[in-house]
Amino acid sequence: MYYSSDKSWQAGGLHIQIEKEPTSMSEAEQEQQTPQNITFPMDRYRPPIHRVIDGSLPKGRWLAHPLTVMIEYDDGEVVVSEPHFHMHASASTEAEAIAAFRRIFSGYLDVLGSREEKLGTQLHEQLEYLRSAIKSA
Amino acid sequence: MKAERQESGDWYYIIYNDGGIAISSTSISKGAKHTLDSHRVSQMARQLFLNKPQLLIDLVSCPLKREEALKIIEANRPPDLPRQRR
Repeated sequence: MYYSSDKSWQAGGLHIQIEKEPTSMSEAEQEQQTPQNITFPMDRYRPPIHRVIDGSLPKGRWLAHPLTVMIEYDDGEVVVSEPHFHMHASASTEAEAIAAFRRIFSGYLDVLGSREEKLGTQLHEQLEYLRSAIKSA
Repeated sequence: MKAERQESGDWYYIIYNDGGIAISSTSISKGAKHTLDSHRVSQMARQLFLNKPQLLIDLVSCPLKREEALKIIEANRPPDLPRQRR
């Protein structure tokens, strides 16, 4: 048995091709037989990856410097997160999830900024981090 | 949990302790699935300063009460020192 990955892996599944047991058939007969391709749901796993995003954010804002985010795949959903405060967003595709992450990331600046006097230490640090990571016109 | 929810397309949840200090938060993005998969549960649990994803599941499904959750959150985050006026 061997494992092969190809473009279809990105569509959701490794293919496992099962080698045929030695038989008394001739090689020509064996070649005529269709190989058994089996896709197991458990093989839809895709390892997390990191991407660097930069550029614009909603409300005329933009990232002050490139930001490394983690992309995780689950059953029909993509989760994008940053490593410092675990701000995250999800959607059905990677592009939509990254767009949602930009929105959430920028939105946190407003959400925390409007409550600045009530923030505990960690959320205040998160606000300071966002202020350093986000530039406005 | 008596979290404050702010809706702006996406949902932001702010958790306050009994002293009125915002001690943790999390969010759910617009368009996300209504069921939480393991990655989202894990991210939300870490963001809320809950030790384990199972604690968030317990919190949502009620075996974990607000008072106990606040204790865990307070224990896992840096202490709130008085902020210096700049």
